[in-house]
Amino acid sequence: MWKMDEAIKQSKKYTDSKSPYTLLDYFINSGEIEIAQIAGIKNSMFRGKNLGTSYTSEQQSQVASGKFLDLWVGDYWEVNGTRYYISAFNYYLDTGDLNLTTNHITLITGGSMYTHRMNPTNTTEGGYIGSEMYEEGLDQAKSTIHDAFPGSVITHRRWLSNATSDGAASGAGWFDSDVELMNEHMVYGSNAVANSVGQPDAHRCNVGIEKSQLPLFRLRHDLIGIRTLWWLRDIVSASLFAYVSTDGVASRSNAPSAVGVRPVFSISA
Amino acid sequence: MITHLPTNTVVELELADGTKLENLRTNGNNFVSDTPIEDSVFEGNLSTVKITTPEGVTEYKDLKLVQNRQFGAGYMFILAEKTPAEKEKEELMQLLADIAELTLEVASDG
Repeated sequence: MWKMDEAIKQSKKYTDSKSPYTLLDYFINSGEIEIAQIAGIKNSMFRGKNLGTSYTSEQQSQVASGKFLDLWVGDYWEVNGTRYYISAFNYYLDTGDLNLTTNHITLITGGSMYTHRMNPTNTTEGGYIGSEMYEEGLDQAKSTIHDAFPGSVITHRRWLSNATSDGAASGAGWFDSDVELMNEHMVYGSNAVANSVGQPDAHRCNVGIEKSQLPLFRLRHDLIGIRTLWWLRDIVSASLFAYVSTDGVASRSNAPSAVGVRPVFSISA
Repeated sequence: MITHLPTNTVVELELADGTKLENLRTNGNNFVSDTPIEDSVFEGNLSTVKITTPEGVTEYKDLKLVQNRQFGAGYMFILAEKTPAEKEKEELMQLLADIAELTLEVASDG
Protein backbone atom coordinates (compact mmCIF):
# COMPACT_ATOMS: atom_id res chain seq x y z
CA MET A 1 0.00 0.00 0.00
CA TRP A 2 1.18 3.46 -0.84
CA LYS A 3 2.40 5.46 2.17
CA MET A 4 2.75 9.17 2.74
CA ASP A 5 6.33 8.73 3.99
CA GLU A 6 7.16 7.10 0.66
CA ALA A 7 5.72 10.14 -1.07
CA ILE A 8 7.87 12.42 1.04
CA LYS A 9 10.89 10.30 0.25
CA GLN A 10 10.16 10.43 -3.44
CA SER A 11 9.41 14.12 -3.40
CA LYS A 12 12.86 14.86 -1.99
CA LYS A 13 14.20 14.11 -5.41
CA TYR A 14 12.69 17.39 -6.44
CA THR A 15 13.92 20.84 -5.60
CA ASP A 16 10.52 21.81 -4.24
CA SER A 17 10.36 18.78 -1.99
CA LYS A 18 8.55 20.66 0.76
CA SER A 19 5.69 21.63 -1.49
CA PRO A 20 2.38 20.07 -0.43
CA TYR A 21 1.31 20.27 -4.06
CA THR A 22 4.15 17.97 -5.10
CA LEU A 23 3.28 15.53 -2.34
CA LEU A 24 -0.35 15.49 -3.38
CA ASP A 25 0.58 15.02 -7.02
CA TYR A 26 2.65 12.00 -5.98
CA PHE A 27 -0.29 10.62 -4.07
CA ILE A 28 -2.57 11.21 -7.07
CA ASN A 29 -0.10 9.55 -9.41
CA SER A 30 0.36 6.55 -7.09
CA GLY A 31 -2.81 4.93 -8.36
CA GLU A 32 -4.17 4.54 -4.84
CA ILE A 33 -7.29 6.51 -5.67
CA GLU A 34 -9.62 6.34 -8.63
CA ILE A 35 -9.23 8.92 -11.40
CA ALA A 36 -12.73 10.19 -10.63
CA GLN A 37 -11.62 11.21 -7.11
CA ILE A 38 -8.80 13.44 -8.30
CA ALA A 39 -10.92 16.48 -9.18
CA GLY A 40 -12.05 16.57 -5.55
CA ILE A 41 -8.46 17.08 -4.42
CA LYS A 42 -7.65 19.52 -7.17
CA ASN A 43 -10.71 21.69 -6.50
CA SER A 44 -9.78 22.02 -2.84
CA MET A 45 -6.43 23.81 -2.94
CA PHE A 46 -5.33 27.14 -4.38
CA ARG A 47 -1.81 27.56 -5.73
CA GLY A 48 -1.59 30.57 -8.06
CA LYS A 49 1.44 29.59 -10.11
CA ASN A 50 2.30 31.13 -13.48
CA LEU A 51 2.11 28.26 -15.99
CA GLY A 52 3.69 30.21 -18.83
CA THR A 53 2.47 31.63 -22.08
CA SER A 54 1.06 28.53 -23.74
CA TYR A 55 -0.91 25.40 -22.94
CA THR A 56 1.76 22.76 -23.44
CA SER A 57 1.30 19.26 -24.79
CA GLU A 58 2.28 17.85 -21.38
CA GLN A 59 -0.41 19.96 -19.69
CA GLN A 60 -2.92 18.84 -22.30
CA SER A 61 -2.06 15.21 -21.57
CA GLN A 62 -2.52 15.77 -17.85
CA VAL A 63 -5.97 17.27 -18.39
CA ALA A 64 -7.06 14.57 -20.81
CA SER A 65 -5.98 11.84 -18.39
CA GLY A 66 -7.91 13.37 -15.50
CA LYS A 67 -4.81 13.34 -13.29
CA PHE A 68 -4.17 17.09 -13.65
CA LEU A 69 -0.62 16.75 -12.32
CA ASP A 70 1.12 20.09 -11.65
CA LEU A 71 -2.11 21.97 -12.30
CA TRP A 72 -4.05 23.63 -9.45
CA VAL A 73 -6.84 26.14 -8.89
CA GLY A 74 -5.48 29.65 -9.31
CA ASP A 75 -2.68 28.63 -11.66
CA TYR A 76 -2.74 30.71 -14.78
CA TRP A 77 -1.43 31.23 -18.28
CA GLU A 78 -0.57 34.67 -19.59
CA VAL A 79 -1.27 34.62 -23.31
CA ASN A 80 -0.88 37.80 -25.36
CA GLY A 81 -1.48 39.94 -22.30
CA THR A 82 -4.57 38.10 -21.06
CA ARG A 83 -4.46 36.08 -17.87
CA TYR A 84 -6.46 32.84 -17.84
CA TYR A 85 -7.06 31.35 -14.38
CA ILE A 86 -7.82 27.70 -13.70
CA SER A 87 -11.12 28.04 -11.86
CA ALA A 88 -12.27 24.40 -11.61
CA PHE A 89 -11.49 20.80 -12.49
CA ASN A 90 -14.18 18.69 -14.19
CA TYR A 91 -16.86 21.22 -13.24
CA TYR A 92 -19.14 20.09 -16.08
CA LEU A 93 -18.38 16.36 -16.05
CA ASP A 94 -21.49 14.22 -16.60
CA THR A 95 -23.76 17.19 -17.35
CA GLY A 96 -25.89 18.01 -20.36
CA ASP A 97 -28.61 16.32 -22.35
CA LEU A 98 -25.64 14.99 -24.31
CA ASN A 99 -23.35 13.81 -21.54
CA LEU A 100 -19.94 15.47 -21.25
CA THR A 101 -17.46 12.69 -20.44
CA THR A 102 -14.22 14.50 -21.34
CA ASN A 103 -11.87 15.45 -18.51
CA HIS A 104 -11.44 19.21 -18.59
CA ILE A 105 -10.44 22.32 -16.70
CA THR A 106 -12.54 25.45 -16.61
CA LEU A 107 -10.89 28.83 -17.12
CA ILE A 108 -11.89 32.44 -16.59
CA THR A 109 -10.02 35.58 -17.50
CA GLY A 110 -8.33 37.64 -14.82
CA GLY A 111 -10.27 40.72 -15.83
CA SER A 112 -12.75 42.07 -18.31
CA MET A 113 -11.59 41.53 -21.92
CA TYR A 114 -13.61 44.50 -23.28
CA THR A 115 -16.99 46.13 -22.79
CA HIS A 116 -20.19 45.36 -24.64
CA ARG A 117 -23.91 45.85 -24.15
CA MET A 118 -26.31 42.96 -23.54
CA ASN A 119 -28.90 44.37 -25.93
CA PRO A 120 -29.31 47.49 -28.09
CA THR A 121 -32.64 48.28 -26.39
CA ASN A 122 -33.54 48.17 -22.72
CA THR A 123 -34.96 44.67 -22.63
CA THR A 124 -34.18 41.14 -21.49
CA GLU A 125 -36.72 39.65 -23.89
CA GLY A 126 -35.48 36.34 -25.29
CA GLY A 127 -33.34 35.76 -22.20
CA TYR A 128 -29.60 35.27 -22.52
CA ILE A 129 -29.88 33.25 -25.76
CA GLY A 130 -31.92 36.03 -27.33
CA SER A 131 -29.44 38.74 -26.35
CA GLU A 132 -27.10 40.61 -28.65
CA MET A 133 -24.33 39.60 -26.26
CA TYR A 134 -24.95 35.92 -27.00
CA GLU A 135 -25.49 36.42 -30.72
CA GLU A 136 -22.45 38.59 -31.43
CA GLY A 137 -21.09 40.29 -28.31
CA LEU A 138 -18.96 37.31 -27.34
CA ASP A 139 -17.40 36.89 -30.80
CA GLN A 140 -14.31 38.91 -29.93
CA ALA A 141 -13.75 36.89 -26.75
CA LYS A 142 -14.26 33.61 -28.61
CA SER A 143 -11.71 34.59 -31.24
CA THR A 144 -9.10 35.58 -28.63
CA ILE A 145 -9.69 32.45 -26.53
CA HIS A 146 -9.59 30.02 -29.44
CA ASP A 147 -6.36 31.66 -30.60
CA ALA A 148 -4.87 31.30 -27.12
CA PHE A 149 -5.90 27.63 -26.74
CA PRO A 150 -6.06 26.38 -30.33
CA GLY A 151 -7.99 23.17 -30.73
CA SER A 152 -8.42 22.73 -26.97
CA VAL A 153 -11.61 24.68 -26.17
CA ILE A 154 -14.42 22.18 -25.71
CA THR A 155 -17.98 22.56 -26.95
CA HIS A 156 -20.55 21.03 -24.67
CA ARG A 157 -24.21 21.41 -23.81
CA ARG A 158 -25.27 24.17 -21.46
CA TRP A 159 -28.73 24.98 -20.12
CA LEU A 160 -29.36 28.64 -20.97
CA SER A 161 -32.35 30.95 -20.63
CA ASN A 162 -34.19 31.86 -23.83
CA ALA A 163 -37.41 33.54 -22.67
CA THR A 164 -38.65 36.00 -20.07
CA SER A 165 -42.08 36.83 -18.69
CA ASP A 166 -42.94 39.60 -16.26
CA GLY A 167 -39.30 40.36 -15.62
CA ALA A 168 -38.09 36.86 -14.89
CA ALA A 169 -36.59 34.04 -16.89
CA SER A 170 -39.39 31.78 -18.07
CA GLY A 171 -37.80 29.54 -20.66
CA ALA A 172 -34.58 27.61 -21.09
CA GLY A 173 -33.11 24.84 -23.16
CA TRP A 174 -29.95 22.99 -24.11
CA PHE A 175 -27.54 24.70 -26.46
CA ASP A 176 -24.10 23.90 -27.88
CA SER A 177 -21.73 26.13 -25.99
CA ASP A 178 -18.06 27.00 -25.68
CA VAL A 179 -17.50 30.53 -24.36
CA GLU A 180 -20.24 32.15 -22.25
CA LEU A 181 -20.87 34.68 -19.54
CA MET A 182 -20.95 33.25 -16.03
CA ASN A 183 -24.07 33.14 -13.87
CA GLU A 184 -24.48 34.25 -10.26
CA HIS A 185 -24.11 30.78 -8.80
CA MET A 186 -20.70 30.32 -10.40
CA VAL A 187 -19.49 33.58 -8.90
CA TYR A 188 -21.25 34.03 -5.56
CA GLY A 189 -22.36 30.48 -4.83
CA SER A 190 -26.01 31.51 -4.70
CA ASN A 191 -28.68 33.64 -6.27
CA ALA A 192 -28.02 37.31 -5.42
CA VAL A 193 -30.00 39.84 -7.47
CA ALA A 194 -31.49 37.67 -10.22
CA ASN A 195 -35.28 37.44 -10.20
CA SER A 196 -35.81 33.96 -8.83
CA VAL A 197 -39.47 34.20 -7.88
CA GLY A 198 -41.23 36.02 -10.72
CA GLN A 199 -41.97 32.85 -12.65
CA PRO A 200 -42.47 29.27 -11.44
CA ASP A 201 -39.13 28.12 -12.86
CA ALA A 202 -37.16 31.38 -13.05
CA HIS A 203 -34.38 30.12 -10.84
CA ARG A 204 -33.88 26.94 -12.83
CA CYS A 205 -33.83 28.86 -16.11
CA ASN A 206 -31.00 31.13 -14.92
CA VAL A 207 -28.95 28.48 -13.17
CA GLY A 208 -29.11 25.28 -15.18
CA ILE A 209 -26.07 23.04 -14.78
CA GLU A 210 -23.84 25.82 -13.40
CA LYS A 211 -25.30 25.53 -9.93
CA SER A 212 -22.30 25.73 -7.65
CA GLN A 213 -19.55 28.27 -7.05
CA LEU A 214 -16.35 27.90 -9.02
CA PRO A 215 -13.59 26.74 -6.65
CA LEU A 216 -11.44 29.73 -7.70
CA PHE A 217 -14.00 32.16 -6.31
CA ARG A 218 -14.55 30.04 -3.20
CA LEU A 219 -10.82 30.14 -2.47
CA ARG A 220 -10.11 33.68 -3.74
CA HIS A 221 -13.11 35.87 -3.00
CA ASP A 222 -11.09 38.94 -3.98
CA LEU A 223 -11.01 37.79 -7.60
CA ILE A 224 -14.75 38.56 -7.85
CA GLY A 225 -14.53 42.28 -7.15
CA ILE A 226 -11.83 43.44 -9.55
CA ARG A 227 -12.51 47.20 -9.64
CA THR A 228 -14.35 46.95 -12.93
CA LEU A 229 -17.90 46.10 -14.00
CA TRP A 230 -18.53 42.72 -15.57
CA TRP A 231 -21.73 41.09 -16.82
CA LEU A 232 -23.39 37.94 -15.58
CA ARG A 233 -26.12 36.33 -17.65
CA ASP A 234 -28.94 36.13 -15.07
CA ILE A 235 -32.24 37.89 -15.75
CA VAL A 236 -33.06 40.45 -13.04
CA SER A 237 -36.08 42.20 -14.57
CA ALA A 238 -37.64 43.08 -17.92
CA SER A 239 -34.72 45.43 -18.56
CA LEU A 240 -31.90 44.41 -16.20
CA PHE A 241 -29.21 41.75 -16.32
CA ALA A 242 -27.00 40.89 -13.34
CA TYR A 243 -23.44 42.11 -13.05
CA VAL A 244 -20.57 42.51 -10.59
CA SER A 245 -20.02 46.16 -9.85
CA THR A 246 -16.73 48.04 -9.58
CA ASP A 247 -16.98 48.11 -5.80
CA GLY A 248 -17.65 44.37 -5.61
CA VAL A 249 -21.38 44.62 -4.99
CA ALA A 250 -23.64 42.00 -6.56
CA SER A 251 -25.68 44.30 -8.74
CA ARG A 252 -27.55 44.75 -12.03
CA SER A 253 -27.64 47.10 -14.97
CA ASN A 254 -29.83 48.05 -17.91
CA ALA A 255 -29.32 45.88 -20.97
CA PRO A 256 -27.86 48.65 -23.21
CA SER A 257 -25.07 49.47 -20.71
CA ALA A 258 -21.49 48.93 -21.86
CA VAL A 259 -20.20 46.56 -19.19
CA GLY A 260 -17.21 44.24 -19.07
CA VAL A 261 -17.07 40.81 -20.70
CA ARG A 262 -15.35 38.24 -18.47
CA PRO A 263 -16.14 34.84 -19.96
CA VAL A 264 -15.90 31.26 -18.82
CA PHE A 265 -14.84 28.31 -20.94
CA SER A 266 -13.29 24.88 -20.62
CA ILE A 267 -10.32 23.18 -22.25
CA SER A 268 -9.10 19.63 -22.64
CA ALA A 269 -6.45 18.12 -24.89
CA MET B 1 -45.14 25.56 -16.49
CA ILE B 2 -45.57 22.31 -18.28
CA THR B 3 -43.42 19.89 -16.38
CA HIS B 4 -42.12 16.37 -16.84
CA LEU B 5 -41.59 16.69 -20.57
CA PRO B 6 -38.90 14.26 -21.68
CA THR B 7 -35.94 16.08 -23.18
CA ASN B 8 -34.96 15.81 -26.83
CA THR B 9 -38.03 13.77 -27.69
CA VAL B 10 -40.38 13.98 -30.65
CA VAL B 11 -43.86 15.01 -29.53
CA GLU B 12 -47.19 16.03 -31.04
CA LEU B 13 -49.50 18.78 -29.86
CA GLU B 14 -53.24 18.94 -30.47
CA LEU B 15 -54.74 22.36 -29.84
CA ALA B 16 -58.28 23.15 -28.71
CA ASP B 17 -59.70 23.36 -32.27
CA GLY B 18 -58.12 20.06 -33.25
CA THR B 19 -55.09 21.56 -35.01
CA LYS B 20 -52.19 19.13 -34.78
CA LEU B 21 -48.58 20.27 -34.59
CA GLU B 22 -46.44 17.27 -35.44
CA ASN B 23 -42.75 16.39 -35.43
CA LEU B 24 -41.90 18.82 -32.65
CA ARG B 25 -38.85 18.20 -30.49
CA THR B 26 -38.57 19.10 -26.84
CA ASN B 27 -35.65 21.14 -25.55
CA GLY B 28 -35.97 22.29 -21.95
CA ASN B 29 -39.46 23.76 -21.74
CA ASN B 30 -39.32 24.70 -25.44
CA PHE B 31 -40.97 22.96 -28.36
CA VAL B 32 -38.78 23.10 -31.46
CA SER B 33 -40.14 23.09 -35.00
CA ASP B 34 -38.20 22.98 -38.25
CA THR B 35 -40.72 25.37 -39.78
CA PRO B 36 -42.18 28.61 -38.40
CA ILE B 37 -45.56 28.47 -36.70
CA GLU B 38 -47.53 31.71 -36.68
CA ASP B 39 -48.70 33.15 -33.35
CA SER B 40 -52.21 33.14 -34.79
CA VAL B 41 -52.24 29.33 -34.63
CA PHE B 42 -52.17 29.58 -30.84
CA GLU B 43 -54.50 32.58 -30.35
CA GLY B 44 -57.68 31.54 -28.56
CA ASN B 45 -56.67 27.95 -29.11
CA LEU B 46 -54.95 26.97 -25.88
CA SER B 47 -57.88 26.28 -23.57
CA THR B 48 -57.15 22.59 -24.06
CA VAL B 49 -53.88 21.17 -25.35
CA LYS B 50 -53.06 17.49 -25.66
CA ILE B 51 -49.39 16.59 -25.69
CA THR B 52 -48.49 13.18 -27.03
CA THR B 53 -45.09 11.81 -25.98
CA PRO B 54 -43.72 8.26 -26.29
CA GLU B 55 -45.03 7.73 -22.75
CA GLY B 56 -48.61 8.70 -23.59
CA VAL B 57 -51.02 11.60 -23.89
CA THR B 58 -51.40 14.35 -21.30
CA GLU B 59 -54.12 16.97 -21.48
CA TYR B 60 -53.47 20.49 -20.22
CA LYS B 61 -56.02 23.24 -19.58
CA ASP B 62 -55.72 27.02 -19.88
CA LEU B 63 -52.27 27.37 -21.37
CA LYS B 64 -50.64 30.55 -22.66
CA LEU B 65 -48.01 31.22 -25.29
CA VAL B 66 -44.93 32.54 -23.49
CA GLN B 67 -42.75 33.02 -26.54
CA ASN B 68 -42.54 32.02 -30.19
CA ARG B 69 -39.35 32.96 -32.06
CA GLN B 70 -36.48 31.70 -34.14
CA PHE B 71 -33.20 30.68 -32.52
CA GLY B 72 -30.54 29.64 -35.01
CA ALA B 73 -32.01 27.17 -37.46
CA GLY B 74 -34.93 26.20 -35.23
CA TYR B 75 -38.24 27.76 -34.35
CA MET B 76 -38.89 27.50 -30.64
CA PHE B 77 -42.07 28.18 -28.70
CA ILE B 78 -42.96 27.84 -25.05
CA LEU B 79 -46.37 27.08 -23.56
CA ALA B 80 -47.12 27.47 -19.87
CA GLU B 81 -50.09 27.06 -17.60
CA LYS B 82 -51.79 30.29 -16.61
CA THR B 83 -51.39 31.20 -12.97
CA PRO B 84 -54.51 31.65 -10.77
CA ALA B 85 -53.78 35.41 -10.72
CA GLU B 86 -53.67 35.53 -14.51
CA LYS B 87 -56.96 33.66 -14.76
CA GLU B 88 -58.56 36.00 -12.22
CA LYS B 89 -57.29 39.03 -14.17
CA GLU B 90 -58.67 37.63 -17.42
CA GLU B 91 -62.07 37.03 -15.83
CA LEU B 92 -62.05 40.57 -14.45
CA MET B 93 -61.12 42.04 -17.82
CA GLN B 94 -63.92 40.05 -19.48
CA LEU B 95 -66.37 41.27 -16.85
CA LEU B 96 -65.33 44.88 -17.47
CA ALA B 97 -65.72 44.39 -21.21
CA ASP B 98 -69.19 42.94 -20.71
CA ILE B 99 -70.19 45.87 -18.49
CA ALA B 100 -68.85 48.37 -21.03
CA GLU B 101 -70.78 46.66 -23.81
CA LEU B 102 -73.95 46.62 -21.74
CA THR B 103 -73.51 50.29 -20.88
CA LEU B 104 -73.15 51.18 -24.55
CA GLU B 105 -76.26 49.17 -25.41
CA VAL B 106 -78.28 50.89 -22.68
CA ALA B 107 -77.03 54.30 -23.80
CA SER B 108 -77.88 53.65 -27.43
CA ASP B 109 -81.38 52.39 -26.48
CA GLY B 110 -81.96 55.53 -24.42
